[in-house]
Amino acid sequence: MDVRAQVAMVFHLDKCIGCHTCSVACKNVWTDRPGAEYMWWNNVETKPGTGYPTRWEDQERYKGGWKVGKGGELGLRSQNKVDAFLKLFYNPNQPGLADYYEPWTYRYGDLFDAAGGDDQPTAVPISQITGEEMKIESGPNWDDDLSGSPLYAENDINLESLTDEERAGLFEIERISMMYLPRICNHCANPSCVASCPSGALYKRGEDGIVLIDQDKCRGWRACVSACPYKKIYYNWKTGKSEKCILCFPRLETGQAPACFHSCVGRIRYLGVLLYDADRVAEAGKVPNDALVESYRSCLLDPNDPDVRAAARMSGVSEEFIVAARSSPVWKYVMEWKLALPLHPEFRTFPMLFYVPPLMPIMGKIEGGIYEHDAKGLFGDFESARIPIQYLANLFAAGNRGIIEGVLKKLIAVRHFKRVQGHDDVADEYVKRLLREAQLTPEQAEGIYELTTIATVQDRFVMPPIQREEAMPAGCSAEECKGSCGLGRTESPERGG
Amino acid sequence: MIQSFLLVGLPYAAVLVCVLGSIWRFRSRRFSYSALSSQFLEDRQLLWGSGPWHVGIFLVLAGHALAFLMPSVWASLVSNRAVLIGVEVAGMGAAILAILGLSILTLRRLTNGRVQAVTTNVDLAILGILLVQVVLGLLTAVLHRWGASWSTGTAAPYLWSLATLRPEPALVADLPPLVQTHMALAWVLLLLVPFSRLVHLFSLPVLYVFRAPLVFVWANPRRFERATAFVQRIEARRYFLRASAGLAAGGSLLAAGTFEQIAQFFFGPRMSEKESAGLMEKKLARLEQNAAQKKLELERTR
Repeated sequence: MDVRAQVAMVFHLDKCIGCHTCSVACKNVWTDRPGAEYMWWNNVETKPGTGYPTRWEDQERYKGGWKVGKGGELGLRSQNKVDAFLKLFYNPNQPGLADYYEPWTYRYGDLFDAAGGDDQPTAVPISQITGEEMKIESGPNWDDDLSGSPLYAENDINLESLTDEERAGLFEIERISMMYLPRICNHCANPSCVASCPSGALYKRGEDGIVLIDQDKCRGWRACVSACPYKKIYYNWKTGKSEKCILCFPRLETGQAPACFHSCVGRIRYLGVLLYDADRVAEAGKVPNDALVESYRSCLLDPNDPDVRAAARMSGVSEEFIVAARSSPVWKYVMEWKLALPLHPEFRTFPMLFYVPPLMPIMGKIEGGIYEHDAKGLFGDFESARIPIQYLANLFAAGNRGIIEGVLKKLIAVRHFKRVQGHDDVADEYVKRLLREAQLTPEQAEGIYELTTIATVQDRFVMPPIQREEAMPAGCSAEECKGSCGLGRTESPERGG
Repeated sequence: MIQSFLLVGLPYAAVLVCVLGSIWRFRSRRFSYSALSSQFLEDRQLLWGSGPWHVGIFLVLAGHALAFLMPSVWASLVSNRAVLIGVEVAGMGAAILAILGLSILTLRRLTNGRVQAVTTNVDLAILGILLVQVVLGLLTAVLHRWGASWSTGTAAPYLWSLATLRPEPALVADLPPLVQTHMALAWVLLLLVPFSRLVHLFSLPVLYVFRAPLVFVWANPRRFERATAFVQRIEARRYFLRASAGLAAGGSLLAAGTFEQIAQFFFGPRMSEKESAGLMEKKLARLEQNAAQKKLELERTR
C-alpha cells in the first residue's frame, strides 16, 4: 500500500448561483497576460450546454482521457508511445482558437481621438492576437443561461442517451431548466495529461497531488491539451508553452485558499485532504462504467483508521497532512455521506474534484392564484425533477442512475429533517422514513446541514501547512531565499525565437 | 582565401557556435526552448505544410547522414545501378515534398494575420535560408547527376577530414559553385541553430518511450527521502541479490576451473606403457647425448 495525500475539492452545485466571481478572480490573478487572454483556468458553464471549449466532453473528437484496451489494459485515448512522435508535428485532436474564442478588447482611444462628425464615436472591438478590428462571434461564456436553445443546449453531448420524452421536457417552454457547472483542473489521481507529456514536463506534486507544468521543461508539443479530457490545459500561443490551473499553490503554501475558492459568493467550494492508495489507482480504472464511482471510492483511505495512518506515515505523508485528513470536509462529502461525485468518471482519470449534484427545481403549480409545489411532498420527489436523473447520471456517475438517486434521496431527506425542526407541516414519521430510505442517521443529516449551510471558512477549507520552507536548500540564507518560495532561480517568460 | 574560410573556418566556427550557443541558451534561457507551435492559431495550412516538410527533410537528411557516416557502405550500395537510381529518385521526391511543405509554411507565415502575430524576423530568415538550401540541393541533384555516388569520394571524406581535425579542403575545392554554396549554407544553418527556433531539434522527446506514465515530483527533499526509503530498501535488496548472484557466478566459475585442474591431476588421462617407455627412451637418449657432450668437453680441457 502506497498512501499518498491529495488536496481534494468539493463543489456543492445546489449552492452555485452562476455569478462567475470565481472565474474573474482567477483571471485577474493568473491569466491576465499576453497569450493567456483566452484561458479560463476556472470557468462556469450552463448545463445543458456545449461548454468551453465547445463540446469539450466529446472524446470522439478530442480523444482525452484513458480507455480500456482489448487486453483490459488502461491506455491513453489520444496517443501511444509511437504515434506520439507523429503528433508532434500536427495534432489532429488539438482544439484550435475557434473552439475557444478569439480574445478581444476595445479600441478605447477612438472615443477621444475620432475625427469630428455627426455620429457618436464608438470603441470598436479589436483582436488581442492580431490587433485588428474583428467581429465578436463567440466568447468564454457565450451560452451563459441559454438553456433550451437549439444552438447550444441541444448540442450537449450528455443528452444523447436520454429518452425522447426526457429530452422534450428539457426544451419545452415553461419547463426549461438549467444548472451551473463551475470547472477547474481536477488535479486527477491518474492524470492522462501527465502520462501524455513527451517532455515529462507535467507532474503531480508528491506532497499534495497538485498537477503542475514545469515551464522550463515544456517544449510546447501540446499532447496534454488533447489528452486532458476536461480541456483544462491551455496552450499559450505567445510563449509556446502549455499552462493550467495551479490550484493557487503559492496561496496554499501561505495558508490561503485558492482565489476561486476564497472569492466564491455562494460558498459552494470545499477544500481538504484525501488519502488514497496510489498502488490501486490504475487498477481501479479498469472496471466497467457502471462500477467506476464505487471503484474509485474504494481507493480512498479512511484517515480515522489507525492502520491507514500508520501506512501513511510509512509512505512519507507528513503528520500535519494526516491530521488535516481527519477533519477534511471532502472526506465527509465524498465518503462519509457519499454525496459528492466525480465529474465524468468514465474518462478514467480519477478526478479529485467532486460535485454534489443539484436537487433540481421541482415543478410548481398554480391553484387559486397561489403558487404551490407538487402535492406529493414539500420538496416534491426527484422523479419529477426538471432535469432528468439520467442527465445527472451522465455527468457524475458514468450513466449509473442508482448513484444519483441515492444522493438526491439524501438531499431531500436532509431538507425534511430540518423542516420538521422549525415547522410542524411535515409528519415526524414521514421524515424518519425518508432518512431510513436515504440511509442517513439524524446525526449525519445534521452534519450535512451544518457543513452545507453554516460552515465557516475554517470548516470549508481545511488545509495542512505545506511546509515549503523545508524545501529550501539547507545552506540558503533567509535573505537570499526571500520571495523565492522554494522555486529557486526564476526567468522572465519570454518567447524563444 | 574566402574559399578556405568557407571550407574550413566556417564549419569549425559553426559547430563551435552551435554547441556552445545551445548550451549557453539551455543554461541561461531554458524557458525559451520550445517547438513554438502555431497550430492553435491556424491548423489547415499547417497540416499541409508541416507534415510534408518534416517528412521530406527527414528523409533527405537521413540520406545525407548515411552517406557521410558510412561512406564505404554507402559507396558499395550505390555502385549497384538500380540502387543508385532508386536513391536519387527517392531523394529528389523527398526534396520536392520538403520544398512544397516549406512553401506552404512560408506563405502561411506571410499571409495569415494570426500567425504573423507570432512571427519574428529570425523565423522568416530561417524559412528563407531553408527554402534556398533545399532548392540548391535539388538543383545539385538535377544538374550534377549522381551526387549519391560522387559525394562518397568528395564530400564524405572532406567531412571526415573535418571531423578528425585534419581538414582537407582540396577534396571539395573543385566541386561546382552550386554545391559549394549548398555546403556553406548548411554551415550557416548550423550556426543559426542556437539563435532561432531550430533549437527544437534538441527537444526530440526520445526519453518518452522509456518513461513510466505518471511523474511525481517531491518539492520537499526530506519528505521525498522518507517516501522513497521503502522503495530504496527494495532496490537495495535487489542490488544485493544481483551482486551476490554475480559473486556466486564468478566464484563458481573459479571453483570449477580449479576443480578441473585438480581433477586432471588425479583422474586425468594416463600414459599407456608404450608411451611411457617411449618417453623413458627419449630421456635416456638425451642423457646419453649429454654424457657424450660432457666427455668431449672434458677431453678438450685436458
